[in-house]
Amino acid sequence: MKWEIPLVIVFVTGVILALSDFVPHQSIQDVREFFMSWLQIIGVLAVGLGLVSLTQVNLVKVRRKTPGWIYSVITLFGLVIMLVTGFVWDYREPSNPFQFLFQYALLPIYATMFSLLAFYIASAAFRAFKARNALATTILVTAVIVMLGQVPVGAKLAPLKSWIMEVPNMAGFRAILLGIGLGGVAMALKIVFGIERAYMGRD
Amino acid sequence: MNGEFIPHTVAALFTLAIFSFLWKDNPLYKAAESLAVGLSAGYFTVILIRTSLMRTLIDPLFEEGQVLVIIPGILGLLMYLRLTRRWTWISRYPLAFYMGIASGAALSPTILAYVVRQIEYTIVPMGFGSWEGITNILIVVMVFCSLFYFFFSVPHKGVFGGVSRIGIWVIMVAFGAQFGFTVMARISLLIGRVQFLLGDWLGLIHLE
Amino acid sequence: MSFLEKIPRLDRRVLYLLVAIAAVVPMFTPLGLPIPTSREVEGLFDYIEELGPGSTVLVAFDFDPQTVGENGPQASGVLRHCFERDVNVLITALSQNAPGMAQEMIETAAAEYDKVNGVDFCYLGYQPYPAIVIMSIGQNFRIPFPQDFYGTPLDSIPLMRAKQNYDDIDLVVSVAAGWVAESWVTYAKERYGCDVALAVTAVQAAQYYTFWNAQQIVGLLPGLKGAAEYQAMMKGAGMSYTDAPLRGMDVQSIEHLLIIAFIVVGNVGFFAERARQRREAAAARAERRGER
Repeated sequence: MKWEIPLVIVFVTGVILALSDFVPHQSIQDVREFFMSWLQIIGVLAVGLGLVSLTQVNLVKVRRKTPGWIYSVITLFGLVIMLVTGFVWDYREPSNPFQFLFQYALLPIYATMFSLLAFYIASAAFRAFKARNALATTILVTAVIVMLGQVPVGAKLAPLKSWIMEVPNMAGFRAILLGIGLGGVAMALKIVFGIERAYMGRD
Repeated sequence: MNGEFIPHTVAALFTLAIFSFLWKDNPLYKAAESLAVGLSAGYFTVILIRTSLMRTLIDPLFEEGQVLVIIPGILGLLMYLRLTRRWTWISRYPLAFYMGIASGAALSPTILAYVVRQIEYTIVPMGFGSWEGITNILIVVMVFCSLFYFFFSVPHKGVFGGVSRIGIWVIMVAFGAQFGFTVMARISLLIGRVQFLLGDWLGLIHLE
Repeated sequence: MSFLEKIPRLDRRVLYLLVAIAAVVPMFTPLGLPIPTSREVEGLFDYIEELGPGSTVLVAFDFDPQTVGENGPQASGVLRHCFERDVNVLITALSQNAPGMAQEMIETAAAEYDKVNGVDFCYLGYQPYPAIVIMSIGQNFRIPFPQDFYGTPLDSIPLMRAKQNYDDIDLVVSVAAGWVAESWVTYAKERYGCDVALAVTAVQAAQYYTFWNAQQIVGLLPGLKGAAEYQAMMKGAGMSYTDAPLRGMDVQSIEHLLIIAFIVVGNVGFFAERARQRREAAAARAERRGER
């Protein structure tokens, strides 16, 4: 019950979906369509797990008054205020408190958090990007050519940059992509045949 | 002062609160960051319930009488048993359904996109008569050597060592290119925020 | 300790200040340097140019606010180009915080070009699990999106009535900041044979040149540079354009020069430091020999 039935479900659904790519018969395409619509519904409900988990973690921090618990209060406040405004006002209207919180709080905070990386990468370039040996120097020289070739001020290097992107860069990433593809296929087969079970957790 | 000044000021204050982290970690930054986590989860939940849950499960079930949607509905709810200790194994049923479909459906398109197509476009006409032919020779050699670098079934010595050595050089060039592009990406995000602060908020620059 | 040897110990905040100055100053003094275009960006631009009025492009907003600085100008450029050429647009927002940004961008662009919701464009909205949604569209748009974002059933929308799946659209443009871009290539292109173009963050773009080489995508917009090239081409073709990405490239030029200067100075400091360590080690060895 605990293992056999899930493994049978994985095998049957996996084989049917894999076959549907090769068998054009309408019946198997109908089954595929049916499964896809079911998966959508399971997925929608499963996503809520994350929300439950986030709430639980923060509530525990507040209750135990762990260091920094006040920030958990702020997270929960953000969650509640978004939920309240989202259900009181129409999410489709372009201007209401729900949209306001999104456009003028959530968006600038997240956009700015990622823009901090510009400062860190500049600092990393200064401190860590060293020509310690031939391979490190290769990375360094390529990076400099690409950085210059990408911007108007280094337009003269643009053809060389394009060649680097389309030949050695492409070749290197093609090898990596082939590895990812073969690994992904092997993993999918292991899951369908019940060899890989880690995603199911333990007893 | 335009009608957007107050909302833009709110957004600018949040922007500056995050930038304050550059000086040092501080409560203002942490507060803004924590608020964003909550707002993001709340926003996502509202959209999920009002556009996804209602339209794929609730409306079809109660308004259109599609009784069959109860089955995936129950399977979806069974996922929540993951939060218990005793009944957690039941959550494997919907998970198995999900993993089976996702894995089965991914098999052939993944082989096509990541393996077949990549090999197909590495088998290209080579020759020394034209620039394209020479480039193609380089592509074939570079892809082969890079792949060989990840092949550990023979020791990387002698000829094999040389091939794998070329492979690592190619991969390093790719990483250098990736670094160059990463610098560009991060700077672009900063440009976006600076344009917001100087343009939308303070009106010091005018962008069409 | 000499000046050169002190370089590696420079306070990080000095570097940050220089980065900030380099981001602000060029905003006030535009350089207006020409932006050379690349084949991968021209690929997408020309593809849309060749589509006739009434063709359909699906623009997928697969990014969150974190990367709006790069993906925003890309999405805005592609949307405006489609509207400019009277190409119908379907829009999805498969990233969890994308729906609000997509709505704002679509409504702004539609108002600018007098485009009517449901006739010239249709905003399908959000559904979770992008790979599943992309596969489901291959069966029928109505599986993941029984209604559009605004709650109208797809069969009641004039633009959507005759549209079943990928067979009824000409191109998918994924404006993405993550692996969703690859899902469009894997499923929409390879499984269902629909043409795909990618407008992605520059971090991702380097690896997608392999899709470009294998002709799995018809075009590739790498980051803000891709958006700027696109706007430059729209400007060149006499269309209305936004100059934010073009002005952004001035800053990008200065910042790149600054970071290259950081790399050079950092390396000078590194070699000075290494030379000092070698001198000290040699002196210590000589001292030990002397003691013996």
